[in-house]
Amino acid sequence: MALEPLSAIRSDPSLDAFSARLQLVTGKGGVGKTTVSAALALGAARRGLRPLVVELSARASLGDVLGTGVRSPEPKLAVRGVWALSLQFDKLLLDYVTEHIPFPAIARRVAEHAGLKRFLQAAPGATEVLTLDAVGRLVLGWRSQPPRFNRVFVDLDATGHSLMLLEVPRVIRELLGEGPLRRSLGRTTSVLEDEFLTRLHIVTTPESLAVQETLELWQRLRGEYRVPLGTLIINQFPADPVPGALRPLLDEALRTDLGSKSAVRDDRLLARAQLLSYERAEREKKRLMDATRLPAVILPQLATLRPSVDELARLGEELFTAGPPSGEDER
Amino acid sequence: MTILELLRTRRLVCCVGPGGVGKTTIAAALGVRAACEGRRVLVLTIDPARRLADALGLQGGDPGVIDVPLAQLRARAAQRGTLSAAMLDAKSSFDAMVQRLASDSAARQIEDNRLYRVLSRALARAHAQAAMELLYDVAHSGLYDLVILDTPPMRAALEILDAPRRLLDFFDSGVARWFLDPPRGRLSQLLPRGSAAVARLLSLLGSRRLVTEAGQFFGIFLPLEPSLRERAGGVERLLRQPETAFVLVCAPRATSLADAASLRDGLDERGIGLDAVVFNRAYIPEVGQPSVPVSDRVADAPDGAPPLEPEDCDDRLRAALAALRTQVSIRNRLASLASREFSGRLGSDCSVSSVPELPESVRDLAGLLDLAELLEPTGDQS
Repeated sequence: MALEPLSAIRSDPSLDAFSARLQLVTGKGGVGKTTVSAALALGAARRGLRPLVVELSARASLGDVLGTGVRSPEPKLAVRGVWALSLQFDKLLLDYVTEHIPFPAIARRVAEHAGLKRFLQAAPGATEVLTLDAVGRLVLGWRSQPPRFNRVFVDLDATGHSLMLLEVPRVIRELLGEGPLRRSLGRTTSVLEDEFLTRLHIVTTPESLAVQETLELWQRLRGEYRVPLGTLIINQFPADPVPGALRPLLDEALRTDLGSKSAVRDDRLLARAQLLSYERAEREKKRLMDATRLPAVILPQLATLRPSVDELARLGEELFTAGPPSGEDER
Repeated sequence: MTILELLRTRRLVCCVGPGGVGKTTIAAALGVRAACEGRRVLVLTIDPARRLADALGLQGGDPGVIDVPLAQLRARAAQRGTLSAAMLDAKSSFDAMVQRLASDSAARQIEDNRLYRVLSRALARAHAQAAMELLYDVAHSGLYDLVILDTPPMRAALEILDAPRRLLDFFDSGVARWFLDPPRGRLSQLLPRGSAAVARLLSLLGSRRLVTEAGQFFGIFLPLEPSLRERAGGVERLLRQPETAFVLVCAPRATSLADAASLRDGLDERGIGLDAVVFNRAYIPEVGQPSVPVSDRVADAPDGAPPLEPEDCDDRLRAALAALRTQVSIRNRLASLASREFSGRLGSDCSVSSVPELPESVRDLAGLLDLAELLEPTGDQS
């Protein structure tokens, strides 16, 4: 069984913020993980790489963001050299059983056993083991085949459900004794903790509730899991609503305008409100960066509610060109 | 039926929605409003952010149900209404269930069982099973007129609906019995006969100790099946009865709406319709009228370029502000279009509300009540 030697796949992702073979994108709900995963994949494709974006469970968003609208259980070319995969339980189970059960006749019966499927689907942690095994095989290759994709981006939400995925390596170490299952599972699942293969990026918005939850998430990730952390991505950062030079004028105008009602005054009040919002975002950004000391990239709030592929590609360029080398941080 | 009417008449309101849209805050706001209308209300939240927990008076990790005094709302609250709140601690709920249902010696064995420790954390992680346990208990306690259930984001909300059946699948599907009695179970049909062969396969797949613990685990849980089945059936009935309402909370951003549509379809597949939709943080409130008229057609509106040639500072400021106003207006219109498109595909008896971006996060009960009052259907928000 000649697999591509691990040495050929592992590299030093500390050289570049987004160069790890396996990049997990996590963060609380609604911050833009799917958007960021797609943007990173577009950036990677533009640099001649062959990226795959993986979504873990049935969500409409990846197909929506990439404009494909289709959820495929096999990697499928989506747009501009980016491939997309939506993991589905039945396929995960079939692949797992085919790979890990040493007796072909039993493997077939097991994969088709309806009761077992129901059991495993209900069994806590089983789906996570299957998922991580599949992701590991995508990164490392399978049987005699080298890996098809040199960048795998996993859109990983921060619910307890998905964080369970990060616990799989430890659980396998604890529960499985030495044996062929532990050895083969260990090979695929340990990619998660391999600093030469993997980075976990955290996405947030600068809104105070999101920042608070992100700080708590970061504490948990640092304390409980051994997955190497990557970049902090602060998404949907508002633009400066009133250029600095004009701000004193705005304050002056609001002061002298007291009591009068005019459309211009209303514009000023709106601007004032937006300015306060912007200043809050700046404060939250500082809070995040001071606390986590992670290398950070700021992404702008987009004018549209549904980014086009071009806009996503531009975000991808922002990420790749702004992302500082992770050697700079104090890990 | 408006949201207020739902709050006055229903016994259970489930808030579902994609993450990051303020669903938990909305759930709490609904609870406060219903209590002010005179009902005895329990808000059951999952993983609330600290600020919300503060507003409701919940301490982090505090097990059990606490009473939220409404005194600070004074004139706005009806005399007989009460508000209680509970933060779901999934792990201890599951442990409590096990303790309640298992015999004493079995309960002690369970604590030592490694598989249980791992699995109970995993069972808890979806919150679904534990949420069902707590929901069953409070709904049958007779203590509350209305329970507001805040569900975990996205698919996990559907897991709540599937949880009763899934739990039974796990304990019941015949596979569990293989671990108890491999030689006579169905596993032997897959293999050459003989318990030795079975034991060899099982120990090949995992350690011997794990296999033994799995046997012990199922040995403890399988006798609990009848009780679990009864409770699961009770929860299923509760979720589907006419006195239960489902409220979807989402934001008018593309990914949020796509996730919301997926949730709506998932509920539909399970024979459940939405009673209300709330678009939260749907628009930036625009003060008064713009100084430079904004075009009715979004396509015609300038994309940020100032309409005047600025000559002096005042003009520059005016131009910058007008441009900003235009941007905000365009954004609001796009959001309104997206919300209307989504609403167009809902049933006619589903009420729709839009809530603007609020200048600050909700800090206290009064803030929650203010928020709830914004939920009355407002129709068009352009």
